[in-house]
Amino acid sequence: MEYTKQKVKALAETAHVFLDEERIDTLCKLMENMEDLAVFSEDVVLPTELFEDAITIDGMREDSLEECMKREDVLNISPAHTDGCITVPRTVEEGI
Amino acid sequence: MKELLKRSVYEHRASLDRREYSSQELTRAYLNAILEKNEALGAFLYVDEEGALARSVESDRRMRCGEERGFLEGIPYSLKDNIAAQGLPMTCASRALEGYVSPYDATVTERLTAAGAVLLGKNNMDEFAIGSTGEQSAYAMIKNPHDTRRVAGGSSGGSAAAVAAGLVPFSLGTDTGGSVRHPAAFCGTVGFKPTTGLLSRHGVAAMASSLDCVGILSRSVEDCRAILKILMGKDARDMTSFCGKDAKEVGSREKPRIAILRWDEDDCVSAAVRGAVKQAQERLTASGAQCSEEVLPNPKNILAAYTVLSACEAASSLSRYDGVCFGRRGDDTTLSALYRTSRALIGDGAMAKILFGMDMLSSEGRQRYYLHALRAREELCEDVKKITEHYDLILSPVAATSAFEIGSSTKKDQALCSALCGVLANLSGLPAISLPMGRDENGMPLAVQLCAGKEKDLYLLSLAQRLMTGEEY
Repeated sequence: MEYTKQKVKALAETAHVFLDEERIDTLCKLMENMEDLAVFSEDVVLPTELFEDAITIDGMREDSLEECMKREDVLNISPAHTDGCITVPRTVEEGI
Repeated sequence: MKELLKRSVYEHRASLDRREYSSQELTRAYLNAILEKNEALGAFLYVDEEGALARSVESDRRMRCGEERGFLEGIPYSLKDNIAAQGLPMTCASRALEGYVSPYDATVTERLTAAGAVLLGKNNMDEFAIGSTGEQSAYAMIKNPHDTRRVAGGSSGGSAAAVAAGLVPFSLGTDTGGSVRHPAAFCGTVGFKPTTGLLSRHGVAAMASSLDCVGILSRSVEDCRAILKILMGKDARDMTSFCGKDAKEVGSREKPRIAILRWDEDDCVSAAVRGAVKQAQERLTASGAQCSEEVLPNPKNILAAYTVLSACEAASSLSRYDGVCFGRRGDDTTLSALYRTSRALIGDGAMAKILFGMDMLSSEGRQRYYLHALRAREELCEDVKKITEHYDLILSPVAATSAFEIGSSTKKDQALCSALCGVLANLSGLPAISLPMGRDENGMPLAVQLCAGKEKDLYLLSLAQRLMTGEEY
């Protein structure tokens, strides 16, 4: 995957992030560096019947967040491993 | 007599026992050192002078009254700024969490308090623990106490710099891909990453949840071992934690077998670091250990798996900083505007990781990268299991070079090699320790890494201690 300005901008839009031109350039470079590292040798054989469902990219449950916006006390929750659950990437089959 | 601020936990404990000084005097001495040196080093983001002195006075009272005392009674320490301490700021070195004050203690903080330790403050770090040099904090660059023109390493750079500079006798950091061991190596301290799950992560800000571990930075292996014993064990608030009793104290062989880890393209390791590994090997052999070389298969896949999985998990973990539940909340009235304002505060390194992770989780990215990464991790775990079944310890570099100059970074192959040395233990869940091993031609610390099988943390530390003291096996 090539990290063009357009692609980075689209990803940022999905994440509700506003980026100016200069920042997009920086992020393109950083993401290309990461992509350079993400090269697997061909002998990695994939298991066949993994996930069937689609992935939610942003995964936010916006209705519940709208509700949270009305409350002040939610800010008292720490942004931490609150219950130790492994928050692996959120896919539909993982229940999010 | 050894300089007060360069003493180990055990040495302070003995002096406090003999009433050579009080905890308040000791705490004041460290606070003065922070005041004097922190501007140059950028090791602390927040210093709780008032709270620390109050805790030290209470500790002195307990000691005077002969009350039951913890092992760390009256001894100061610090926390990386992604570990919660009640009533203290916790920013993860990000503007996105500026002003956030934790309403509760992390389990590790709670356990240190129960052991009598005195918290001095919160250490600087790479933003959200993403970075390996200490240059990615939103507040201040972290500098190496041995040469302030050089990096301290990351992401727990503030903790390592603080311990090395004598601003604190020990500190807790977190290690997701070498983030305790790399800065420990660059700053010349001991840096320990336990078996994944041995220490609770309740109250620790998540970066990549299947890889994150709390780790210990200290002046000696002996200190590290004592602190580990206080911290380890099952925590009902962290379902990934397990009972510390399972951490095996004794290895299976009288004369330990050591695998010296090699891999394709490991010739990029600097001559000085090679010398340090050689020195460790000679010491181990002289002590009665049996050393032989073992080749690590598929190093490229290991790095690729880490790059993809850590980014995917970081994208998931960091999406919570939306200004609603977590992160700074502006005056915006729509959810979309609130997201934008809040997320604009996240720095470039963390943002690139989030966006890259999101892309890896798209339908195309998932097929091409994410599933491959999961499989590569499984294969690595199988390979490592075979090695640790045959050997008691794995010896390797911690990083390809010693600390380099700020802004210069290392050559690409050296950066990859350093990353590989770090991530191996995180992907496979093994305990690993960075041990100081001499200096290079510029006087910068060198280090080696020892890994052991899962849950053999105390065994690893006992062998590491023997390596450092030259004691025979």
